[in-house]
Amino acid sequence: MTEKRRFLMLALISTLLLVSCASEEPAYTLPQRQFSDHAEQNKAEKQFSENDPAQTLNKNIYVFNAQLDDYVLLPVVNAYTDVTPDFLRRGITNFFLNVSEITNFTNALLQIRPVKAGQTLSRFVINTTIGLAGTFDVATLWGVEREPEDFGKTLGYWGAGPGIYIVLPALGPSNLRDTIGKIADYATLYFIIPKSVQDTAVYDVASYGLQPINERYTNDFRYFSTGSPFDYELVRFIATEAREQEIANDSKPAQP
Amino acid sequence: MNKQKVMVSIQLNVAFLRYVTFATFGLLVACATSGTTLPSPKQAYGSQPVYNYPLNDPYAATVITVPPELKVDYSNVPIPTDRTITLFEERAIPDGFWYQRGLKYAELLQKDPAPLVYIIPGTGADSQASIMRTLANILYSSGYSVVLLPSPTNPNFIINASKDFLPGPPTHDAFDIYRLIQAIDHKISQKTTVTGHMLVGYSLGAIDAAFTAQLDNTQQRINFNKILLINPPFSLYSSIKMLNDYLYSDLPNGMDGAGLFVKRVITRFSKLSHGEEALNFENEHYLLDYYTKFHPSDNQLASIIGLSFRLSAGDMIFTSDVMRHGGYVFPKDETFTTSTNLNLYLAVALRTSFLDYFNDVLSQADTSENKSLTKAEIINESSLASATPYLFHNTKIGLITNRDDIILAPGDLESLLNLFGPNAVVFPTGGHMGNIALPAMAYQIVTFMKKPLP
Repeated sequence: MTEKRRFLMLALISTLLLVSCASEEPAYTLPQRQFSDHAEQNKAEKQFSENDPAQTLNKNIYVFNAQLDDYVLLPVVNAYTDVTPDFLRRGITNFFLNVSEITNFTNALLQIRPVKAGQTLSRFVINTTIGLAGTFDVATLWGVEREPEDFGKTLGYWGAGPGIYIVLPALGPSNLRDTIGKIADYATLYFIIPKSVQDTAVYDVASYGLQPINERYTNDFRYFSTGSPFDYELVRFIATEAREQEIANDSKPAQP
Repeated sequence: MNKQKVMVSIQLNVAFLRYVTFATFGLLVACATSGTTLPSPKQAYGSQPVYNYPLNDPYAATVITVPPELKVDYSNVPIPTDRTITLFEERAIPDGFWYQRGLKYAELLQKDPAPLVYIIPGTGADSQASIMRTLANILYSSGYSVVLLPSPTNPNFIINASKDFLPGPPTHDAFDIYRLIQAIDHKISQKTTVTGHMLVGYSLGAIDAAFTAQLDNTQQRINFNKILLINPPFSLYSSIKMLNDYLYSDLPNGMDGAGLFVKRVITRFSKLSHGEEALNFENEHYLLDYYTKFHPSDNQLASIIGLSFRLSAGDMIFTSDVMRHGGYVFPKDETFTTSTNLNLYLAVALRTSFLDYFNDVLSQADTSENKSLTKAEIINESSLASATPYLFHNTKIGLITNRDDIILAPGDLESLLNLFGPNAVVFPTGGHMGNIALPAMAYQIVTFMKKPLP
């Protein structure tokens, strides 16, 4: 390590230390109403505060995502909605949902749930063939319901808790377990989809162009749409609780 | 999974906590469409529809509102356009409110010259609230242009349109609303011909409308032809007190049990969904499904209503305090930034009721229009009784309310009927705003708006 680099490292570390020290002591006057005055001591809960040690970073990414929406993603989605007919957009959404059956299938296997695995596999086969490469969801019409699974859910199925709350750049609210899950699912798809397909220009357009647009188009979540100054905290709470509930409900044996 | 279902689930996730807020119940319902035998608007107003509201429990009515199959189909009415306007050019808005720059309202204008209706929502709500959309649909399909305003208690309004950041008392907020309406009216008159002005408000917005109209009566800058109050409180203070008490009906320790309470509601809702996503519903009936499956008691429903009111109050109190550097729930010398840790402030804001704000902030403050009023004076001024000389049997002013409105204290309904006399319509059921999407309600609203003045 050169002298210069060592100096830079030292400077960086001391800055970080300074920053963390500075945040220890509040440099402001306490407000009139204090938590300790208005809550039953020890028993009081801080409402809607989930496990969020990386909050400062998360909040900055949350704002970044909101601005990415405002300046890039939503204008692109609006243009997409303007230039494409409804049936085409539905076909594209169906196409990507059909690709995700691969993820549903692998995770049903990892959860050792053969019925679910069979269901997702037959959906994939039906929709890929009769449903014209997945653009029509024939399987649902025939009563074979979609069973969305992902590796985050699989980890949850085997008992993993959510871990810390994480706001992912562009993708939004998540947690440690589901972030690992996303990476694993992505890697699995990468290995399963044949190289001959991945090397085509069509694949590039689909995965780097259409897929993100479709993703944002089908997702109606809007940052800061609660109108509350506590938008981040409310969304964190709802996103976390809803996801845990989803995993809990999915893990229970199916009712007859 | 089709797009509609995805949309429903996502909107739910975001809006869930606010869904019970008076104005935003229907955010959930609003995003779902479909239905088979819906009456068209023409059918709905042609002759007087029968009053067929199915729920007799006022708490259930308030939370569940109108079942989808009884609603009028407005799918042909365009979605209102979102607009922003700046009223105080010089105002410094802290970084933490970066997304609140500019007052947000929505407009739905007729192509031809038409009368223009301004609508004021209930506590904390804005133009996105489903009740606002319902009112816009009713009025637009009857030939009116419509402007949807935020409530003076909504954070966006406080930040951008409040002169001294002390929302709450309707006589005081009327000045802010009136200034805003004039600014918007100026913009609209440049692009379309307005043939008359009307004002509609519901819940807290109704009492706001009454005092704004009274102000207009003296200043005569807009000259509203018609003013309609839907489910107003009679005395704001006593309604606030009732809503505050509702919180404790199933939560004896107040906010100290609220996190668990909300989690339980989420768990129950998730059981109704299709297993794909926790709050993803197959149809629009899930509110009714929730009710019929879990039979929540009146106490539980009242706590949901009280909790949503507390959330709105917390938003209002926190926003007002940050903007005026009041040092009430947020340190007066701390800068509110995008990364300020709000966990503790949220916990405190949720434990601060509208009544606390009334006692600790409003009663102590010198407002721009009213110099240090006593608590008793503010309470008196916040009652429709204080506007009796203007309101009494005034043919320009209509009232629609429900006999079982849960924000009316004993005697309030009689006081309202005395005040509005022949201009009052009272439905037997519906709770607070529960029956707004019913054809019989649309009929009464349009009938009042179209009735020629003597």
